Amino acid sequence: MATANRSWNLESFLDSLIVELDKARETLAIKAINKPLTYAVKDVNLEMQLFPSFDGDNVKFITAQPGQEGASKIAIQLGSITDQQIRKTTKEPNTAQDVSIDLIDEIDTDTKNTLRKIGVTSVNDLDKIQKKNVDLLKASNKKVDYGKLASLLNKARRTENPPKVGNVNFNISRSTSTINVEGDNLIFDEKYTPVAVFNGEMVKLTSASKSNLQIQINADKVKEEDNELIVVSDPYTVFKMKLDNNN
Amino acid sequence: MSDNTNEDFIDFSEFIEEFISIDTYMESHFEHQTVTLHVEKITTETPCQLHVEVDDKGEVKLGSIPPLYYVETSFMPVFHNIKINFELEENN
Repeated sequence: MATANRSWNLESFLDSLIVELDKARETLAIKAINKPLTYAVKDVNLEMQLFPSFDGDNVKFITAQPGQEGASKIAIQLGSITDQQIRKTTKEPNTAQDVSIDLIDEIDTDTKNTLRKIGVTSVNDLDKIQKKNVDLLKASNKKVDYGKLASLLNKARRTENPPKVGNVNFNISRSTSTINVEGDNLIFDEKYTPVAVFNGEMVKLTSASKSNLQIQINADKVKEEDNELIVVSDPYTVFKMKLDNNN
Repeated sequence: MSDNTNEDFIDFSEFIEEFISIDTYMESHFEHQTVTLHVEKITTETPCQLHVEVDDKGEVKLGSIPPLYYVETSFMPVFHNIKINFELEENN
């Protein structure tokens, strides 16, 4: 239940203020259909009487109540900018392949806050920093080590994009026999060389991509039922299949 | 706004819409002539009361009104200040 006179953080307040301004703009857009001229909000300047508080990590505000004296004054000025300016000055939203660090439970709040302060909010952001050879340990005042984080983040990214097996076919012939696995996210990070085991023996992957695996097998090892194929595509992913070969 | 708030407060978006609901043209008739004016820019600055609600998720909801009560009392409401610039836009 929403209650009044509770402290709020600036981000939530601004979100709410912007949503309200957007609502007003939508109403104006409807009005504009029938009127050749309408008024648009150019800028808003809101000065508020507040009491700020700081708990060591976050600053929160509470609006002054009647009879309370000594409140601080905070002024928020919102101007209107074009969509082009927004694109230029803001980061692109996280893609489906990316993972927000907020969603990774294994990372503690302190580390998340430290990363956010240096502009890292997703796994891709961290990758970009690593590519530029930024010393994360130094940039975060010895609070975050890339080595420790990287595996945690890659694991999280893999969990968000699990392998999906669609079809598996046996191609048995005298010369070369193969198993053809079709699906999605079978190989996620090409940095790692995948490994496959068929009925207890290591087998060779002749090709491996995101949607297809070609595995060379020995035709003599193929049973009619309960063939076991295990694929290790990266350090975080092992998938096992029970395959029947009923012709 | 939710049921438990002061019903005098309106959503902040409505507050702005109220400001803008003005006739674009002002006409004045003099003998056989009509003089038409339109306002190009409006700057408004007013004290206002704010009602800030916070739900359990930390989301904020804003209600606002211009000053409601004009009688001076020992406990006056807290007045914040809002300044809005409106500009005329031509719609294509």
